[in-house]
Amino acid sequence: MNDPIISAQGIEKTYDTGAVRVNALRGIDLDVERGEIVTIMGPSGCGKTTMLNCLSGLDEIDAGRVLIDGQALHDLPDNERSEYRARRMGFVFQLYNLLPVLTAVENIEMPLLVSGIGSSEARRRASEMLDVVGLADWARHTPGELSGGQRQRVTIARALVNSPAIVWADEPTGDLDSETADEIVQLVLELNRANRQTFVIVTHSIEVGRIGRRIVKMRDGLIEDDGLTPAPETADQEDAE
Amino acid sequence: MDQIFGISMTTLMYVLLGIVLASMAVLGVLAARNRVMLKMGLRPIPRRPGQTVLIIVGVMLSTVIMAAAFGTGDTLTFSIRNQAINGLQQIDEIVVPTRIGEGGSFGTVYIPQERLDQLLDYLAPHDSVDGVMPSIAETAPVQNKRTKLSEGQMNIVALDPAMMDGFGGLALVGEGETLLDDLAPEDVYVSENGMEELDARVGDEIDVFLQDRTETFRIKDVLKSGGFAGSQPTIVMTLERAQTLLEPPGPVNSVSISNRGDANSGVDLSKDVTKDLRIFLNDRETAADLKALFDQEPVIAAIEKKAAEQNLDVDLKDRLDTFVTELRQPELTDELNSLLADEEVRQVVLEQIEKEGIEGLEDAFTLSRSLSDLRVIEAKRNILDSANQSGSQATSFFLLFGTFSIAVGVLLIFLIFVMLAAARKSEMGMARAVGAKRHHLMMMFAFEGTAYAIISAAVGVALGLGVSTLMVTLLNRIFAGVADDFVFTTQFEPRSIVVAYCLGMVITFATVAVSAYRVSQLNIVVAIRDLPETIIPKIEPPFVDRLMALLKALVLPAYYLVVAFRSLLHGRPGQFAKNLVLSVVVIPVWIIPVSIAAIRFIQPYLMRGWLVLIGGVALTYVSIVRWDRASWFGAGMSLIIVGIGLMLRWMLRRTAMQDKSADRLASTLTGGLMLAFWALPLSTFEPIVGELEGNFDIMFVSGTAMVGAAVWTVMHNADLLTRILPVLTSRIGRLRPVLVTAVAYPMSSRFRTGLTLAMFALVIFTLMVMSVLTGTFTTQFEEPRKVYMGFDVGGTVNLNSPIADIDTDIDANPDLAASDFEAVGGMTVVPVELRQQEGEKGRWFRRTGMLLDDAFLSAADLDMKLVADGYGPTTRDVLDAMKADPTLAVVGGLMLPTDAELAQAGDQPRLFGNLSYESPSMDPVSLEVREPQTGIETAVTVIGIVDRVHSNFEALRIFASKKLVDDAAPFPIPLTTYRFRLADGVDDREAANAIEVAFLENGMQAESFQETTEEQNAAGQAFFRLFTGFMALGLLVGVAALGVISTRAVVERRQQIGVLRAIGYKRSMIALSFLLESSFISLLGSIIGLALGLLLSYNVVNDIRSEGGVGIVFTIPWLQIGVILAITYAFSLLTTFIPARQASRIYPAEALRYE
Repeated sequence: MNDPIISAQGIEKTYDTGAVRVNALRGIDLDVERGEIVTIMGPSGCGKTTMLNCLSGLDEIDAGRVLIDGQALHDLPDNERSEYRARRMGFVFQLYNLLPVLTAVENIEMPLLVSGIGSSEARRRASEMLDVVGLADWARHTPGELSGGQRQRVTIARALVNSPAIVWADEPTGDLDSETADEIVQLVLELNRANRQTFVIVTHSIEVGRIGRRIVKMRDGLIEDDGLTPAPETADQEDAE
Repeated sequence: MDQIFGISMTTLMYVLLGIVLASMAVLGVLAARNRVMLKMGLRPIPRRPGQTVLIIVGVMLSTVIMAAAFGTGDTLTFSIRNQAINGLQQIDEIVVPTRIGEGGSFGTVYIPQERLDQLLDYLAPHDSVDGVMPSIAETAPVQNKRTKLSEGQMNIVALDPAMMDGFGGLALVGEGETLLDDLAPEDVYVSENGMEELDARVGDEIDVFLQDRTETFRIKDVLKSGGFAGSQPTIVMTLERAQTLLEPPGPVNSVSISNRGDANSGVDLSKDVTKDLRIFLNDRETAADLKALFDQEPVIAAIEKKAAEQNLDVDLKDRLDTFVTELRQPELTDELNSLLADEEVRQVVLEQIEKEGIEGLEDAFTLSRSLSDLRVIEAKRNILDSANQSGSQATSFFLLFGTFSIAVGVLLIFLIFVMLAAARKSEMGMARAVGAKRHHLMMMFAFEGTAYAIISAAVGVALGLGVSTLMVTLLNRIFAGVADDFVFTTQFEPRSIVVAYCLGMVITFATVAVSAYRVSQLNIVVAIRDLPETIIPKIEPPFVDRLMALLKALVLPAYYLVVAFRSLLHGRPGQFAKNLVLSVVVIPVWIIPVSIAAIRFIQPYLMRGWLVLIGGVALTYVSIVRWDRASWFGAGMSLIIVGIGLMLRWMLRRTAMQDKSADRLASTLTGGLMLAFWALPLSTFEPIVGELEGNFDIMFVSGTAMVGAAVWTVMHNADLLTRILPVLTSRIGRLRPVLVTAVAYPMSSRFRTGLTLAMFALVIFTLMVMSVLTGTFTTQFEEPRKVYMGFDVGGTVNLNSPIADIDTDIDANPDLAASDFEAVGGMTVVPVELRQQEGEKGRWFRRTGMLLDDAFLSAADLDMKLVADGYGPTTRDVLDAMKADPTLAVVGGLMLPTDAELAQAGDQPRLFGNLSYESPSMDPVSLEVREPQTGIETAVTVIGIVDRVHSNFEALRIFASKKLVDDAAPFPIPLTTYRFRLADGVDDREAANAIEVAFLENGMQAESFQETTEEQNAAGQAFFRLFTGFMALGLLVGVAALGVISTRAVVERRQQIGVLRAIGYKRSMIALSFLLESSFISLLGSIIGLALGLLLSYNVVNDIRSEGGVGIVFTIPWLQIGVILAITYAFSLLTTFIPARQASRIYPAEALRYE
């Protein structure tokens, strides 16, 4: 096995709401290969999203260690971690979470601008990315003027525009009808094949779950099962071949 | 303070209290019947204490401003009343010889013994009088022999110890009081401030300098100020001693009267006592002659016209009404007899007769003067009345100047409730989805708003009174340099507190009602799914539906009545009772449903513009033809512009043009036109509409309209800014994304941003106007030497001890160096009456004459505006001509009207015919001059008009050589006033002191003009700054608005903050984004406010200049403006800092979880 791009050991996370303490993660160990598509599944409240947040550095961990490309993410100060996210990671959320006050192209170019890319270069790459996700004609529309599928495409474009090493997706099709969800799945596969990016996808959907060769099943804050499954061809398979 | 804007405070209190209590009662009933809505409305208040505090602060600000204004008014009223009562103590009325009030500058007038005896005999048995004190009041220079310190104008009061009954004793500073019965002839009492002036102590000997000798007295004890000891430095001696000392031409020169009751209650009898005295003192025959003169229709009509004037003091109006009523009686009544001696009434009547140009009443002036040889001054009542007036004026002034801040405060309340509605949108959508009706949402909002209003108004009143206390402290500091003995004492009337509280409540109620109505109109799906409201196209309800709704609203009580009786017929007594109650309860609030239905009925026509246009044309027409008000004219024109804009939008939307583009074009045009209209000086329209009257109201209307138009235009083109920004910021690197979001967010919430921007711009606008006007009017004084006609120091001497020859005295005095004085001029100030000598002789004009000695005429250096042909061309030529020929004179620039005033004056009689201050040239004008006391007449030829640059000094005066009257007067006329021009390098303040000391025996009071000017400027500037500070309270509102918006934004955008953090925004970038966002609003608001404020000030200054303001130069106090803007910006950043910091601390995962 190559050096994993994501390596998590003994991750623990507890939430204290004041009334109750919830052990959301109770010692997670997980390694993810470069170019791999890993889907994380499990019932509601099992800790999928918490794990994604902890692995990506969006949330703090109580115990354990997360290495991204050999870099201990949680040892980095907040500013450096933010910068790391801007350069190396992309995020896709269930509720799209686009900035409603910016147009589609402005939303997509935002990570580039944050990374310090010049504005004309950022605009060029954002427009290219819009073209890739099939929304070149919707560049000047705000999220409120787009359909759910279109919005999720914009979110994916935003997540991929700075060519991140890892894309974290939390229920990327959760708010979409099956036809649109399928389109999104195909888009992710295409991009993975084209760019060899690592995808970590949290999902409830069996169809989405099958997208990668590896499905991590969770229950009560623990990994219940971590196995390979027959799945569409992904970048890691191509590598292996 | 009894009135505000002419409305009785008591009436106002009851009306407001009625509204508040009725509203509370209605809300109470509704709350009892709709507990769920009550709970939904009140529940968020304790849940989010931070937000609750912020809302309360925002809602209370307009109340703070109003309460501060009322508190200041109350304090002013109380302080002046207090001063009056302490100053006069038991004295309620004073009887003095009539001639004193008409310029007794030719010698102090005394009451003859026979007349005094008559007066005392009359007053002795009077039921309402408990004390009568015949006394002498004079002034003389006094020096302490031990300390050598002196007081040039010491009051000398002489009292009869046998008549102290009713007045009580004179209070001693130590303990006890004195009735003067043990005062030896060589002893005097001295008031405490007199002791300070002389640095004296009990037992010291003081010299009193009389006309021909010096008398020495020993200080027996120190009197507290007030009562007979007065408020100025005073020495008190017995009447008997004074009569031997002063050798007066009569026994006394005044008689003080104490009414029954104490110092406070005695004044209640003042009207009756004064009336009785006037009837007793008046010559009834003369009064009957006056009645006969006045009893003619033109005079009565003129007085009625005056009495009908708005803003006239209520008491004066009553007296004028009575005057007319009594005048119509066949015989002279006591009431009329008394009113004829009432100086205020008589003056108003005579002025009105002059103003109306009623002929054949020349004798009225002479008869009025000979009505009585004694006049009664209602000393205490007059001061108490003026205290009330001052209080009302101060409150009105502060309220008027606070209007902008109050308006901004109202906008803030509206903004707060708009944001509250936004926060509850989905909750309210759900409530509607499960069956809540629109009125339930209104109720829910009204309950919440009322809860905030109750608390906010209370806190606002408390804080407002605090602000007023602070202002009073500052006022005391300002006055400390001007009037040493006057101190403001903080005082709040319960009535004012109730009015301020109720006003705050009513304003909040009204704003909440409007925002609640707006909220209730939400679309359920849009609310639940948090979609943009624009997603639902507005559908115009059909005409019939709107008409039916209006008709139903119009007959609402009858409708409930019909339903009630129908229920009764159907055997439902419960429904009957309910609808019967509703039919009655709805009446007080009937206007609300009718207004809503009426607005809905006409709304489509308003939105198409034509109805607005018609309304605008009508308002403009009425404002020109009937109301004559510039503010209404401006409002009418603004409506016309809005109407045109709306029509244009409606038409463009019917073309192929996109709605968005049509809106932008129409809105920009409307805003641009409106700005252009208000940017033009109002005088631009005078050729078409004539001269309209405008006061502070025009400033308020123009300010609001200009700021509104500017914000409107900016907000409708804001998207251009978001497009331009990427280009402009392409080189800023990593700041760029922060800038993009900082501009994009406010631009996406146009209503909210526009409202905040308008608030900010409005406040900055008012501060800019205030600053520029302060700068322009307090720094534009010319050099004192120029204003004071070439002199540096001025001095007046005691009339009883004039200087025989000042030049000789200066030369002879070892303490004065003659070389210090370049020139010394003398003059005498006398009242004169003037009228044209040639052509049709008009009425007499009362003016002041300045009789100048040759030294003055030789040394004076003044600017002439006009010089009559043959007497110029230089000022020197004119003055030399006056010296050579005493019948030549010049007059002050204010004696002549400007061209505009001349045109406005119409047919009113004028002293100089058609000659105006701005005329290019003049011919000599011959005038008759009459000395009012003696009736001696002479003639002068006016050969020049003095420039108004000297207006501080000469106002409405005529200048001539003193030789003009020296020969004609029956007695020698002394010089009373001197002017000194100092040699280079001589200190003006030291010179003034030296002159005072040197001419102590003459009671010389000297002042350095430089010092006086500086003091006046400093006091003026301090006042302006105080008002600027008061208006800056509005800034609090603007800053609070930013705080509210930022706090709300952090909550609303929590998820988006998470996304931004996820894509790499650092904490500092999030915080910076919020700070830049508020900076964007505050800076844009500041720029709009600054630009428009400067524009309006420029117009105001130009306007004043064109109406004859001389020496006024438009000045922008950049430093002050810079400080104001910097402080504003700093505070806006500070307010946003807390929410910005809060936003930056949100952990990304936590933010993303938030829904």
